[in-house]
Amino acid sequence: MTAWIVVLLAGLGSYLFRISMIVLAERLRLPASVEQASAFVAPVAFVSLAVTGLSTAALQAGDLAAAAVLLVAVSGAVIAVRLTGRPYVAVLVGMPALWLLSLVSGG
Amino acid sequence: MRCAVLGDPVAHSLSPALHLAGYAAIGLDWQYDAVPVPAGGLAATVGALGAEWRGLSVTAPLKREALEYASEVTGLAERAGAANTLVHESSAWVAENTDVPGAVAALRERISEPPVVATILGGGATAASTALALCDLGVGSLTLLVRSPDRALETLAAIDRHPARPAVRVGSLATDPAVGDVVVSTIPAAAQTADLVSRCAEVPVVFDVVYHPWPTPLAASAADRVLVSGLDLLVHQAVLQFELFTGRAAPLEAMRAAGRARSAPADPRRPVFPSEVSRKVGGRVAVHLLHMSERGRTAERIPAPATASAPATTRPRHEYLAGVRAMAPWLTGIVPFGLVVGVSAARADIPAMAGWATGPLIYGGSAQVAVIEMLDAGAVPAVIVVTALVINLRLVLYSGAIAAQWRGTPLWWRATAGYLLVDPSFVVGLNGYRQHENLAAGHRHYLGGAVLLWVAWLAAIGIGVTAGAQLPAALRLEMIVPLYLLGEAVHKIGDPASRAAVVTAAVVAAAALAAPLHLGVLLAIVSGMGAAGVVQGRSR
Repeated sequence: MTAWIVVLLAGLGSYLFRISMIVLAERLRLPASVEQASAFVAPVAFVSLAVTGLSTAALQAGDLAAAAVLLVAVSGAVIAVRLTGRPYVAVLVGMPALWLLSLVSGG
Repeated sequence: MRCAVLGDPVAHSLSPALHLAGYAAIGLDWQYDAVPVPAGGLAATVGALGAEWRGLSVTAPLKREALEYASEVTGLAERAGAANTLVHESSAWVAENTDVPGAVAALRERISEPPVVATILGGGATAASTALALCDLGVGSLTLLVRSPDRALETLAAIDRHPARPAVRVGSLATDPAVGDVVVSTIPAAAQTADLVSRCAEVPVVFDVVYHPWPTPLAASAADRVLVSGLDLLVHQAVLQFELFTGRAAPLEAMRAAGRARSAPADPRRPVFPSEVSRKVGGRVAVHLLHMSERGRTAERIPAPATASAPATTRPRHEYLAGVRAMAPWLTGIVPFGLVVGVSAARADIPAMAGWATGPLIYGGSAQVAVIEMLDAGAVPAVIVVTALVINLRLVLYSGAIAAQWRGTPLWWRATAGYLLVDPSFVVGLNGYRQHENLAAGHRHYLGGAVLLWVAWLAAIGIGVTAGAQLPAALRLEMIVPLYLLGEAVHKIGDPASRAAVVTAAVVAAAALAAPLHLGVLLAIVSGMGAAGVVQGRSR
């Protein structure tokens, strides 16, 4: 039930954002500082969620070797993205690296 | 009399050298200083100046403050949304913008014919000024290449205030090619990647507004093309300021020589000046010196061209299909993300249907992932909702930017079209309104693209939920989401501000892993945006 309430409230708030200027206040403008800061929301949200997820997984890995496997796979993914300029390469490189390293390390 | 340049930083500014050279050339015993003034400090600084002060050059981060402080604002400064000049008239300060006519003069000095199609790299205040300059020159079709749609808003608003209002297309700085007769770069040298430079190679005229460090990668690549430099722009806007301050004709060549002397004169790729050489563009001699009296004059309007993006027909079905076609390329990135969101929902400790329902209810990938991941982690509901809303705050900006197109439509239509508003539909829709002559055709273009996106997004999430639930746990599919997000974040790092934002958010997210109420993600997002703001403030 909690999950549904959260999804509904987040959805309702998002919808109100979408129609706010269209229906309620067509002529209002947000402060310039908010407009500029909003350009960074996507990368900042992405990295915050990613680091939280990866750190949690590393802590739950149970031993140093399993955490190291994760760290190496993630590092490979980041390097691949920087080299290719393609974001999805992180998954294409990171997941196989994770599977292979886990197999090799017996994890 | 006294004049000065205000801004932060101003230690490297060439304005004192340019203006003082002008005073010396015409025998004026005036003073011109560089005064560091941080953001928020313009009103106090200018308010303390006496009657002996005649004019101020205003640079970043004070251009908007100057607009707000002045007693009177010229139409051009109002249109640009920024003032780079304050003139002291009868104890009142008048705000003016010489960046726009300065850019017009710099371009007209180097090219023989007005550009018809142009591309601008970047979307900030400088992009807005150069876009207005291109409008003045008669450009009929403009492409803005930006890192994210939000960054184009300021420039789009300025273009909308121009009476010519050319067709505008917003594209991706990461993937799209520069097209047309001129490419204008307003992004820092550090953001000019080899890939980006190669995508500008087909454009015969390069205008890079940066003058330090020089040459930029883009300028260095333009050896066989016409190059307009940031120093050209600086000199011409300073010349116009000089005439506003002194009321006398400015000694252009003396000011230009002072600028050249101070900007890496030994550099082999330093800006080449019209008096030194003529270059050919497409077989035409493209360099012509203009007489001083022509500086800043608005170019004669030329008819807007029929562009490739113009509608081929006015039949409604074709307008819907035009929107569908415009949205199709976006799906190559959207569908994999939808699959990831679906897998994430399947692996999380929440009802699978609730995970899928984030699609139609929240309808924003990053906010959906945040909600699913935080629910799975057992975060406090209020914190999850606030985090999702912070991520989706950008939707207010999209709403404001597209509101003018939907004004006067029935409420039910706005309520429905607004529901479909998200990053790709915003860009495709805005481009559609600029391609079609009448609003109804633009509405159909928007709906065609937006509905396709909605269907594809929900289908992708559904497939992800189904597949993710059936695959073995040993595959560790829960790692796909953080890896995907990490790839997106690393890919979006371009300028120092985005780098500071991402690094700060990563450090705070790791450090706040044990934060109460699972506030770590929200804290990291706010910290990252704050860091970006600080770096942006310093760089101006």
